[in-house]
Amino acid sequence: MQCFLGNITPAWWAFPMNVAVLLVLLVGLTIVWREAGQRWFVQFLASGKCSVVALMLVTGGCLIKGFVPPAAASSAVCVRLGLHDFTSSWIFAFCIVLLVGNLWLVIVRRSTKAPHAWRFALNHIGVLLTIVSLFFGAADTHKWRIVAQQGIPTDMGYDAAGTPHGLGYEIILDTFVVSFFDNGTPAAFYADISTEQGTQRVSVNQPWHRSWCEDVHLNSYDTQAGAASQFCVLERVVQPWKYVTWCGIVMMIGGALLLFFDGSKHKSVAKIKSNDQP
Amino acid sequence: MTWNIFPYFAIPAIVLAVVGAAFALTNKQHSRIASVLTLLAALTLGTFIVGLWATLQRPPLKTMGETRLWYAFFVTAAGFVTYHRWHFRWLPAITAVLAIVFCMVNLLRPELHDATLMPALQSGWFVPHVVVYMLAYAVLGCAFALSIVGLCNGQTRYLSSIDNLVYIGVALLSIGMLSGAIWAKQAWGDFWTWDPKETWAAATWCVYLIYIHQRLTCRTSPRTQYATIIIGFILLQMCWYGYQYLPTAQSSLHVYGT
Repeated sequence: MQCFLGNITPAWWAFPMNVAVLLVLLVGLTIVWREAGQRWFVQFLASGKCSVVALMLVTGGCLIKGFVPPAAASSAVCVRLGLHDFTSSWIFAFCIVLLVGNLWLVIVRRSTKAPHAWRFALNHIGVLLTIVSLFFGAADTHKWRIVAQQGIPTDMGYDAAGTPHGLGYEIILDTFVVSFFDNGTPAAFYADISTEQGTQRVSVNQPWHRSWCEDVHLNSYDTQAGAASQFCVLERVVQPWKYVTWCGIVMMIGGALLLFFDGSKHKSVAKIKSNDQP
Repeated sequence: MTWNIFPYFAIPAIVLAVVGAAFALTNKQHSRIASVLTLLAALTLGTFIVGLWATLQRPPLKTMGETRLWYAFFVTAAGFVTYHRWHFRWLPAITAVLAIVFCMVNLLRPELHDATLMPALQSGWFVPHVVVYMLAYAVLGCAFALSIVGLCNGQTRYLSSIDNLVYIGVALLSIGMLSGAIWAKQAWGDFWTWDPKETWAAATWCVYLIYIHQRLTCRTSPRTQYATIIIGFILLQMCWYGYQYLPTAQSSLHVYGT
Protein backbone atom coordinates (compact mmCIF):
# COMPACT_ATOMS: atom_id res chain seq x y z
CA MET A 1 0.00 0.00 0.00
CA GLN A 2 2.87 2.34 0.82
CA CYS A 3 4.53 1.71 -2.52
CA PHE A 4 1.34 2.22 -4.49
CA LEU A 5 -0.18 5.15 -2.62
CA GLY A 6 2.82 6.91 -1.09
CA ASN A 7 2.28 8.65 2.24
CA ILE A 8 -1.10 9.08 3.85
CA THR A 9 -3.24 11.96 2.58
CA PRO A 10 -4.78 13.45 5.72
CA ALA A 11 -7.81 14.90 3.93
CA TRP A 12 -9.05 11.38 3.10
CA TRP A 13 -9.36 10.58 6.81
CA ALA A 14 -11.10 13.70 8.08
CA PHE A 15 -14.26 13.37 10.16
CA PRO A 16 -16.38 11.23 9.90
CA MET A 17 -14.06 8.79 8.13
CA ASN A 18 -11.58 8.68 11.01
CA VAL A 19 -14.30 8.01 13.57
CA ALA A 20 -15.81 5.31 11.37
CA VAL A 21 -12.46 3.56 10.91
CA LEU A 22 -11.76 3.75 14.63
CA LEU A 23 -15.15 2.31 15.53
CA VAL A 24 -14.78 -0.50 12.99
CA LEU A 25 -11.36 -1.29 14.43
CA LEU A 26 -12.38 -1.33 18.09
CA VAL A 27 -15.79 -2.97 17.67
CA GLY A 28 -14.36 -5.46 15.25
CA LEU A 29 -11.58 -6.44 17.63
CA THR A 30 -14.07 -6.81 20.47
CA ILE A 31 -16.21 -9.14 18.39
CA VAL A 32 -13.17 -11.14 17.31
CA TRP A 33 -12.09 -11.46 20.94
CA ARG A 34 -15.49 -12.69 22.06
CA GLU A 35 -16.03 -15.06 19.16
CA ALA A 36 -12.53 -16.33 18.50
CA GLY A 37 -10.65 -15.54 21.66
CA GLN A 38 -9.10 -19.00 21.85
CA ARG A 39 -7.33 -18.78 18.51
CA TRP A 40 -3.56 -18.34 18.72
CA PHE A 41 -3.55 -15.17 16.61
CA VAL A 42 -6.14 -13.45 18.78
CA GLN A 43 -4.36 -14.61 21.92
CA PHE A 44 -1.15 -13.14 20.56
CA LEU A 45 -2.81 -9.82 19.67
CA ALA A 46 -4.06 -9.52 23.26
CA SER A 47 -0.75 -10.53 24.84
CA GLY A 48 2.16 -8.75 26.39
CA LYS A 49 4.39 -10.23 23.69
CA CYS A 50 2.41 -8.31 21.09
CA SER A 51 2.84 -5.20 23.23
CA VAL A 52 6.59 -5.70 23.05
CA VAL A 53 6.46 -6.24 19.28
CA ALA A 54 4.27 -3.17 18.74
CA LEU A 55 6.48 -1.00 20.94
CA MET A 56 9.56 -2.24 19.08
CA LEU A 57 7.98 -1.33 15.75
CA VAL A 58 7.03 2.13 16.99
CA THR A 59 10.56 2.58 18.36
CA GLY A 60 11.96 1.60 14.97
CA GLY A 61 9.70 4.15 13.32
CA CYS A 62 10.91 6.81 15.74
CA LEU A 63 14.53 5.94 14.95
CA ILE A 64 13.90 6.28 11.23
CA LYS A 65 12.25 9.63 11.85
CA GLY A 66 15.10 10.66 14.11
CA PHE A 67 17.95 9.66 11.83
CA VAL A 68 16.62 10.46 8.36
CA PRO A 69 16.25 14.16 7.53
CA PRO A 70 13.69 14.95 4.85
CA ALA A 71 16.33 16.36 2.53
CA ALA A 72 18.32 13.12 2.58
CA ALA A 73 15.28 11.07 1.58
CA SER A 74 14.48 12.91 -1.62
CA SER A 75 15.03 10.03 -4.04
CA ALA A 76 11.99 8.47 -5.66
CA VAL A 77 12.47 5.21 -3.76
CA CYS A 78 12.77 6.93 -0.40
CA VAL A 79 9.73 9.06 -1.09
CA ARG A 80 7.75 5.99 -2.13
CA LEU A 81 8.72 4.28 1.13
CA GLY A 82 7.76 7.39 3.06
CA LEU A 83 11.23 7.90 4.56
CA HIS A 84 11.08 11.66 3.93
CA ASP A 85 8.23 11.90 6.45
CA PHE A 86 8.05 8.48 8.01
CA THR A 87 5.44 9.23 10.63
CA SER A 88 2.98 10.02 7.82
CA SER A 89 3.63 6.71 6.06
CA TRP A 90 1.34 3.69 5.85
CA ILE A 91 4.12 1.62 7.42
CA PHE A 92 4.15 3.74 10.56
CA ALA A 93 0.35 3.90 10.52
CA PHE A 94 0.31 0.10 10.61
CA CYS A 95 2.61 0.15 13.63
CA ILE A 96 0.30 2.59 15.42
CA VAL A 97 -2.82 0.61 14.51
CA LEU A 98 -1.17 -2.56 15.84
CA LEU A 99 -0.34 -0.75 19.07
CA VAL A 100 -3.90 0.63 19.35
CA GLY A 101 -5.38 -2.79 18.66
CA ASN A 102 -3.15 -4.44 21.23
CA LEU A 103 -3.96 -1.77 23.80
CA TRP A 104 -7.68 -2.24 23.22
CA LEU A 105 -7.57 -6.01 23.53
CA VAL A 106 -5.34 -5.85 26.61
CA ILE A 107 -7.86 -3.51 28.23
CA VAL A 108 -10.78 -5.72 27.21
CA ARG A 109 -9.24 -8.93 28.54
CA ARG A 110 -7.88 -7.52 31.78
CA SER A 111 -9.72 -8.52 34.91
CA THR A 112 -10.76 -5.54 36.99
CA LYS A 113 -10.22 -7.61 40.11
CA ALA A 114 -6.55 -7.99 39.40
CA PRO A 115 -4.05 -6.04 41.51
CA HIS A 116 -3.06 -2.54 40.48
CA ALA A 117 -6.34 -2.19 38.54
CA TRP A 118 -6.38 1.59 38.82
CA ARG A 119 -2.77 1.90 37.77
CA PHE A 120 -3.30 -0.43 34.83
CA ALA A 121 -6.51 1.30 33.70
CA LEU A 122 -5.13 4.82 33.95
CA ASN A 123 -1.93 3.99 32.11
CA HIS A 124 -3.39 1.86 29.33
CA ILE A 125 -6.64 3.72 28.72
CA GLY A 126 -4.77 7.01 28.97
CA VAL A 127 -2.20 5.93 26.37
CA LEU A 128 -4.99 4.62 24.14
CA LEU A 129 -6.95 7.88 24.27
CA THR A 130 -3.85 9.97 23.67
CA ILE A 131 -2.61 7.94 20.71
CA VAL A 132 -6.08 7.63 19.16
CA SER A 133 -6.82 11.35 19.47
CA LEU A 134 -3.44 12.43 18.08
CA PHE A 135 -3.30 9.82 15.31
CA PHE A 136 -6.91 9.61 14.16
CA GLY A 137 -7.52 13.25 15.01
CA ALA A 138 -4.57 14.51 12.98
CA ALA A 139 -6.74 14.66 9.87
CA ASP A 140 -9.06 17.13 11.58
CA THR A 141 -6.22 19.33 12.86
CA HIS A 142 -5.50 22.45 10.83
CA LYS A 143 -2.77 25.00 11.29
CA TRP A 144 -2.76 28.21 9.30
CA ARG A 145 -0.31 31.09 9.51
CA ILE A 146 -1.82 34.58 9.54
CA VAL A 147 0.14 37.75 8.86
CA ALA A 148 -1.61 40.43 10.91
CA GLN A 149 -0.65 43.95 9.86
CA GLN A 150 -1.14 47.19 11.71
CA GLY A 151 -4.29 48.94 10.55
CA ILE A 152 -4.89 46.51 7.66
CA PRO A 153 -7.55 43.83 8.14
CA THR A 154 -6.84 40.33 6.99
CA ASP A 155 -9.06 37.28 6.75
CA MET A 156 -6.65 34.85 5.11
CA GLY A 157 -4.53 32.09 6.59
CA TYR A 158 -1.94 29.92 4.85
CA ASP A 159 -1.26 26.26 5.46
CA ALA A 160 2.17 24.60 5.43
CA ALA A 161 2.03 24.27 1.64
CA GLY A 162 1.28 27.99 1.26
CA THR A 163 -2.31 27.42 0.16
CA PRO A 164 -4.56 30.30 1.25
CA HIS A 165 -7.70 29.64 3.29
CA GLY A 166 -10.42 32.03 4.37
CA LEU A 167 -10.61 32.46 8.13
CA GLY A 168 -14.28 33.49 8.19
CA TYR A 169 -13.38 36.52 10.31
CA GLU A 170 -11.05 39.52 10.14
CA ILE A 171 -8.01 40.31 12.23
CA ILE A 172 -6.31 43.70 12.53
CA LEU A 173 -3.10 44.25 14.44
CA ASP A 174 -3.67 47.21 16.77
CA THR A 175 -0.49 47.25 18.83
CA PHE A 176 2.67 45.23 18.88
CA VAL A 177 5.03 45.55 21.86
CA VAL A 178 8.42 43.93 22.34
CA SER A 179 10.95 44.45 25.12
CA PHE A 180 14.60 43.48 25.05
CA PHE A 181 17.29 42.39 27.45
CA ASP A 182 20.46 44.45 27.72
CA ASN A 183 22.19 42.16 25.20
CA GLY A 184 19.52 42.83 22.57
CA THR A 185 17.69 39.51 22.74
CA PRO A 186 13.91 39.74 23.03
CA ALA A 187 12.61 39.48 26.59
CA ALA A 188 8.89 39.47 25.91
CA PHE A 189 6.47 40.44 23.17
CA TYR A 190 2.74 40.59 22.73
CA ALA A 191 0.19 41.73 20.19
CA ASP A 192 -3.20 43.37 20.68
CA ILE A 193 -5.46 42.37 17.80
CA SER A 194 -8.97 43.47 16.89
CA THR A 195 -11.34 40.63 16.16
CA GLU A 196 -15.07 40.04 15.99
CA GLN A 197 -14.83 39.19 19.68
CA GLY A 198 -13.23 42.52 20.53
CA THR A 199 -9.60 43.26 21.28
CA GLN A 200 -7.54 40.22 22.21
CA ARG A 201 -4.01 40.16 23.62
CA VAL A 202 -1.87 37.34 22.30
CA SER A 203 1.60 36.50 23.56
CA VAL A 204 3.95 33.51 23.60
CA ASN A 205 2.53 30.78 25.85
CA GLN A 206 -0.75 32.72 26.12
CA PRO A 207 -2.88 32.13 23.02
CA TRP A 208 -6.33 33.52 22.28
CA HIS A 209 -8.94 30.78 22.75
CA ARG A 210 -11.36 31.76 20.03
CA SER A 211 -13.64 28.76 20.36
CA TRP A 212 -13.83 25.28 21.88
CA CYS A 213 -11.58 23.89 19.13
CA GLU A 214 -9.71 26.94 17.84
CA ASP A 215 -6.75 28.79 19.33
CA VAL A 216 -4.69 31.63 17.88
CA HIS A 217 -1.04 31.72 18.89
CA LEU A 218 1.55 34.47 18.50
CA ASN A 219 4.36 33.04 16.46
CA SER A 220 6.79 35.78 15.49
CA TYR A 221 7.17 39.32 14.23
CA ASP A 222 9.39 41.47 12.03
CA THR A 223 12.66 40.82 13.89
CA GLN A 224 14.52 43.25 11.61
CA ALA A 225 12.26 46.12 12.65
CA GLY A 226 12.14 45.00 16.28
CA ALA A 227 9.97 47.31 18.38
CA ALA A 228 8.84 49.10 15.22
CA SER A 229 7.42 45.91 13.71
CA GLN A 230 4.38 46.66 11.58
CA PHE A 231 3.20 43.08 11.48
CA CYS A 232 3.17 39.89 13.49
CA VAL A 233 2.71 36.27 12.51
CA LEU A 234 -0.10 34.40 14.19
CA GLU A 235 -0.95 30.73 13.97
CA ARG A 236 -4.54 29.57 13.96
CA VAL A 237 -4.86 26.01 15.22
CA VAL A 238 -8.09 24.04 14.94
CA GLN A 239 -7.91 20.77 16.88
CA PRO A 240 -11.33 19.31 17.70
CA TRP A 241 -9.87 16.16 19.28
CA LYS A 242 -7.82 18.09 21.83
CA TYR A 243 -10.19 17.34 24.70
CA VAL A 244 -9.79 13.61 24.12
CA THR A 245 -6.04 14.17 24.19
CA TRP A 246 -6.37 16.14 27.40
CA CYS A 247 -8.35 13.31 28.95
CA GLY A 248 -5.69 10.81 27.92
CA ILE A 249 -2.88 13.00 29.25
CA VAL A 250 -4.57 13.49 32.62
CA MET A 251 -5.13 9.75 32.93
CA MET A 252 -1.52 9.02 31.98
CA ILE A 253 -0.25 11.48 34.59
CA GLY A 254 -2.41 9.75 37.18
CA GLY A 255 -1.10 6.37 36.07
CA ALA A 256 2.48 7.62 36.15
CA LEU A 257 2.06 8.89 39.71
CA LEU A 258 0.73 5.48 40.73
CA LEU A 259 3.90 3.88 39.29
CA PHE A 260 5.74 5.38 42.24
CA PHE A 261 3.78 3.11 44.54
CA ASP A 262 4.35 -0.63 44.93
CA GLY A 263 6.98 -0.84 42.20
CA SER A 264 6.83 -3.96 40.11
CA LYS A 265 5.78 -6.52 42.72
CA HIS A 266 6.44 -9.68 40.74
CA LYS A 267 4.54 -11.79 43.22
CA SER A 268 1.40 -10.11 41.94
CA VAL A 269 2.34 -10.89 38.35
CA ALA A 270 1.68 -14.59 38.86
CA LYS A 271 -1.79 -13.76 40.11
CA ILE A 272 -2.42 -11.49 37.11
CA LYS A 273 -1.43 -14.24 34.70
CA SER A 274 -3.78 -16.73 36.32
CA ASN A 275 -6.66 -14.21 36.27
CA ASP A 276 -6.12 -13.41 32.61
CA GLN A 277 -6.94 -16.88 31.29
CA PRO A 278 -10.05 -16.46 29.03
CA MET B 1 27.03 33.05 42.87
CA THR B 2 28.34 32.71 39.33
CA TRP B 3 30.01 30.09 37.20
CA ASN B 4 33.36 31.67 38.08
CA ILE B 5 33.21 30.02 41.49
CA PHE B 6 31.86 26.70 40.24
CA PRO B 7 35.29 25.03 40.74
CA TYR B 8 35.05 25.81 44.48
CA PHE B 9 31.89 23.69 44.63
CA ALA B 10 32.69 21.10 42.00
CA ILE B 11 36.07 20.06 43.39
CA PRO B 12 34.85 19.49 46.98
CA ALA B 13 31.81 17.66 45.61
CA ILE B 14 34.06 15.43 43.51
CA VAL B 15 36.33 14.73 46.47
CA LEU B 16 33.37 13.89 48.70
CA ALA B 17 31.85 11.61 46.06
CA VAL B 18 35.14 9.80 45.43
CA VAL B 19 35.90 9.29 49.13
CA GLY B 20 32.33 8.15 49.72
CA ALA B 21 32.63 5.70 46.83
CA ALA B 22 35.90 4.40 48.29
CA PHE B 23 34.26 3.77 51.67
CA ALA B 24 31.38 1.97 49.95
CA LEU B 25 33.73 -0.23 47.89
CA THR B 26 35.86 -1.22 50.86
CA ASN B 27 32.95 -2.18 53.14
CA LYS B 28 31.01 -5.35 52.48
CA GLN B 29 28.21 -4.09 54.69
CA HIS B 30 26.40 -0.81 54.17
CA SER B 31 28.76 2.03 55.12
CA ARG B 32 27.09 4.94 56.85
CA ILE B 33 30.13 7.11 56.14
CA ALA B 34 29.79 6.36 52.42
CA SER B 35 26.13 7.38 52.51
CA VAL B 36 26.85 10.61 54.36
CA LEU B 37 29.75 11.59 52.09
CA THR B 38 27.74 10.88 48.92
CA LEU B 39 24.83 12.88 50.30
CA LEU B 40 27.16 15.76 51.15
CA ALA B 41 28.52 15.68 47.60
CA ALA B 42 24.99 16.00 46.24
CA LEU B 43 24.16 18.79 48.68
CA THR B 44 27.30 20.70 47.67
CA LEU B 45 26.21 20.69 44.04
CA GLY B 46 22.65 21.46 45.09
CA THR B 47 23.84 24.50 47.03
CA PHE B 48 25.59 25.83 43.95
CA ILE B 49 22.42 25.32 41.89
CA VAL B 50 20.34 27.26 44.39
CA GLY B 51 22.87 30.08 44.50
CA LEU B 52 23.13 30.21 40.71
CA TRP B 53 19.34 30.31 40.45
CA ALA B 54 19.22 33.27 42.83
CA THR B 55 22.00 35.12 40.99
CA LEU B 56 20.59 34.58 37.51
CA GLN B 57 17.05 35.29 38.73
CA ARG B 58 15.85 32.55 36.45
CA PRO B 59 15.93 28.76 36.66
CA PRO B 60 19.38 27.54 35.55
CA LEU B 61 17.89 25.10 33.01
CA LYS B 62 18.43 26.95 29.74
CA THR B 63 21.82 25.83 28.48
CA MET B 64 23.40 22.40 28.09
CA GLY B 65 25.94 23.32 30.76
CA GLU B 66 23.16 24.06 33.20
CA THR B 67 21.43 20.74 32.50
CA ARG B 68 24.77 18.95 32.99
CA LEU B 69 24.98 20.59 36.40
CA TRP B 70 21.51 19.33 37.35
CA TYR B 71 22.36 15.86 36.12
CA ALA B 72 25.54 15.75 38.19
CA PHE B 73 23.45 16.73 41.23
CA PHE B 74 20.64 14.28 40.57
CA VAL B 75 22.84 11.32 39.67
CA THR B 76 24.81 11.78 42.87
CA ALA B 77 21.58 12.00 44.83
CA ALA B 78 20.18 8.97 43.02
CA GLY B 79 23.36 7.09 43.77
CA PHE B 80 22.98 7.92 47.45
CA VAL B 81 19.34 6.75 47.52
CA THR B 82 20.07 3.56 45.57
CA TYR B 83 23.09 2.68 47.72
CA HIS B 84 21.20 3.47 50.92
CA ARG B 85 18.26 1.33 49.79
CA TRP B 86 19.93 -1.69 48.20
CA HIS B 87 23.56 -1.55 49.41
CA PHE B 88 25.23 -2.20 46.05
CA ARG B 89 28.69 -1.13 47.20
CA TRP B 90 30.06 -0.33 43.74
CA LEU B 91 27.12 1.92 42.77
CA PRO B 92 28.37 5.14 44.44
CA ALA B 93 31.56 4.72 42.43
CA ILE B 94 29.68 4.55 39.14
CA THR B 95 27.42 7.49 39.94
CA ALA B 96 30.47 9.42 41.15
CA VAL B 97 32.17 8.79 37.81
CA LEU B 98 29.09 10.00 35.93
CA ALA B 99 28.87 13.14 38.07
CA ILE B 100 32.60 13.80 37.70
CA VAL B 101 32.40 13.51 33.92
CA PHE B 102 29.67 16.13 33.71
CA CYS B 103 31.34 18.43 36.23
CA MET B 104 34.63 18.17 34.34
CA VAL B 105 32.94 19.01 31.05
CA ASN B 106 31.54 22.14 32.68
CA LEU B 107 34.93 22.98 34.19
CA LEU B 108 36.86 22.45 30.95
CA ARG B 109 34.27 24.04 28.69
CA PRO B 110 33.16 27.09 30.55
CA GLU B 111 30.32 28.80 28.81
CA LEU B 112 29.01 32.30 28.87
CA HIS B 113 25.98 32.09 31.08
CA ASP B 114 23.63 35.03 30.94
CA ALA B 115 20.49 35.84 32.85
CA THR B 116 18.30 36.11 29.76
CA LEU B 117 15.46 33.68 29.21
CA MET B 118 13.81 33.77 25.80
CA PRO B 119 10.06 34.33 25.74
CA ALA B 120 9.25 30.74 24.73
CA LEU B 121 10.88 29.47 27.91
CA GLN B 122 9.03 31.88 30.17
CA SER B 123 6.39 29.38 31.22
CA GLY B 124 5.36 27.68 34.42
CA TRP B 125 6.04 24.34 32.69
CA PHE B 126 9.72 25.10 32.13
CA VAL B 127 11.02 24.06 35.52
CA PRO B 128 8.91 20.91 36.11
CA HIS B 129 9.41 19.68 32.54
CA VAL B 130 13.20 19.89 32.58
CA VAL B 131 13.80 19.02 36.25
CA VAL B 132 11.63 15.90 36.05
CA TYR B 133 13.53 14.79 32.95
CA MET B 134 16.91 15.35 34.62
CA LEU B 135 15.79 13.32 37.63
CA ALA B 136 14.54 10.56 35.32
CA TYR B 137 17.90 10.49 33.53
CA ALA B 138 19.69 10.15 36.85
CA VAL B 139 17.48 7.31 38.11
CA LEU B 140 17.74 5.46 34.81
CA GLY B 141 21.47 6.06 34.89
CA CYS B 142 21.57 3.96 38.06
CA ALA B 143 19.52 1.27 36.32
CA PHE B 144 22.02 1.38 33.46
CA ALA B 145 24.90 0.90 35.89
CA LEU B 146 23.21 -2.13 37.44
CA SER B 147 22.53 -3.56 33.97
CA ILE B 148 26.15 -3.24 32.91
CA VAL B 149 27.28 -5.14 36.00
CA GLY B 150 24.53 -7.74 35.63
CA LEU B 151 25.43 -8.29 31.99
CA CYS B 152 29.13 -8.63 32.82
CA ASN B 153 28.84 -11.08 35.69
CA GLY B 154 25.76 -12.92 34.44
CA GLN B 155 23.83 -12.59 37.70
CA THR B 156 20.09 -11.98 37.81
CA ARG B 157 19.92 -10.49 41.30
CA TYR B 158 20.08 -6.92 40.00
CA LEU B 159 16.84 -7.19 38.02
CA SER B 160 14.50 -6.60 40.96
CA SER B 161 16.37 -3.39 41.87
CA ILE B 162 16.37 -2.37 38.21
CA ASP B 163 12.61 -2.94 38.15
CA ASN B 164 12.10 -0.44 40.93
CA LEU B 165 14.43 2.10 39.34
CA VAL B 166 12.79 1.70 35.93
CA TYR B 167 9.28 2.09 37.33
CA ILE B 168 10.36 5.34 38.97
CA GLY B 169 12.27 6.39 35.85
CA VAL B 170 9.36 5.63 33.51
CA ALA B 171 6.98 7.51 35.79
CA LEU B 172 9.30 10.52 35.64
CA LEU B 173 9.82 10.17 31.87
CA SER B 174 6.04 10.05 31.40
CA ILE B 175 5.43 13.11 33.54
CA GLY B 176 8.25 14.96 31.76
CA MET B 177 6.93 14.02 28.33
CA LEU B 178 3.34 14.88 29.18
CA SER B 179 4.23 18.20 30.77
CA GLY B 180 6.18 18.95 27.60
CA ALA B 181 3.14 18.07 25.50
CA ILE B 182 0.90 20.37 27.52
CA TRP B 183 3.48 23.16 27.25
CA ALA B 184 3.84 22.58 23.51
CA LYS B 185 0.08 22.89 23.07
CA GLN B 186 0.16 26.18 24.92
CA ALA B 187 3.18 27.56 23.10
CA TRP B 188 3.08 26.05 19.61
CA GLY B 189 -0.54 24.96 19.26
CA ASP B 190 0.00 21.20 19.10
CA PHE B 191 0.67 18.54 21.70
CA TRP B 192 3.10 16.60 19.50
CA THR B 193 4.90 17.72 16.36
CA TRP B 194 7.55 14.97 15.95
CA ASP B 195 10.23 17.50 16.75
CA PRO B 196 13.58 15.60 16.78
CA LYS B 197 13.82 15.91 20.57
CA GLU B 198 10.25 14.64 20.96
CA THR B 199 10.96 11.76 18.57
CA TRP B 200 13.96 10.58 20.56
CA ALA B 201 12.02 11.04 23.81
CA ALA B 202 9.27 8.79 22.45
CA ALA B 203 11.81 6.17 21.39
CA THR B 204 13.42 6.23 24.85
CA TRP B 205 10.07 5.93 26.58
CA CYS B 206 9.05 3.01 24.36
CA VAL B 207 12.24 1.06 25.10
CA TYR B 208 11.75 1.33 28.85
CA LEU B 209 8.13 0.26 28.39
CA ILE B 210 9.44 -2.71 26.43
CA TYR B 211 11.57 -3.64 29.46
CA ILE B 212 8.59 -3.40 31.82
CA HIS B 213 6.48 -5.61 29.54
CA GLN B 214 9.34 -8.07 29.06
CA ARG B 215 9.57 -8.46 32.82
CA LEU B 216 5.83 -8.79 33.31
CA THR B 217 4.74 -11.00 30.47
CA CYS B 218 7.54 -12.42 28.35
CA ARG B 219 10.03 -15.16 28.95
CA THR B 220 13.01 -13.19 27.70
CA SER B 221 16.41 -13.98 29.11
CA PRO B 222 18.04 -11.80 31.75
CA ARG B 223 20.72 -10.89 29.20
CA THR B 224 18.04 -9.55 26.88
CA GLN B 225 16.48 -7.60 29.71
CA TYR B 226 19.81 -6.07 30.70
CA ALA B 227 20.48 -5.23 27.06
CA THR B 228 17.12 -3.48 26.82
CA ILE B 229 18.06 -1.17 29.70
CA ILE B 230 21.41 -0.44 28.07
CA ILE B 231 19.74 0.37 24.75
CA GLY B 232 17.26 2.57 26.56
CA PHE B 233 20.07 4.52 28.21
CA ILE B 234 21.82 5.01 24.88
CA LEU B 235 18.61 6.40 23.41
CA LEU B 236 18.27 8.56 26.51
CA GLN B 237 21.66 10.12 25.80
CA MET B 238 20.58 10.69 22.21
CA CYS B 239 17.45 12.39 23.44
CA TRP B 240 19.32 14.57 25.92
CA TYR B 241 22.13 15.88 23.73
CA GLY B 242 23.07 13.39 21.01
CA TYR B 243 20.31 14.38 18.64
CA GLN B 244 21.90 17.83 18.24
CA TYR B 245 24.69 16.27 16.23
CA LEU B 246 22.31 14.75 13.70
CA PRO B 247 21.16 16.49 10.50
CA THR B 248 17.57 16.33 11.73
CA ALA B 249 18.42 18.69 14.59
CA GLN B 250 18.31 21.63 12.21
CA SER B 251 14.53 21.51 12.32
CA SER B 252 14.33 21.18 16.09
CA LEU B 253 12.67 23.83 18.23
CA HIS B 254 14.51 22.49 21.30
CA VAL B 255 17.95 23.83 20.35
CA TYR B 256 17.77 26.90 22.53
CA GLY B 257 21.17 27.43 24.07
CA THR B 258 24.36 25.41 24.42
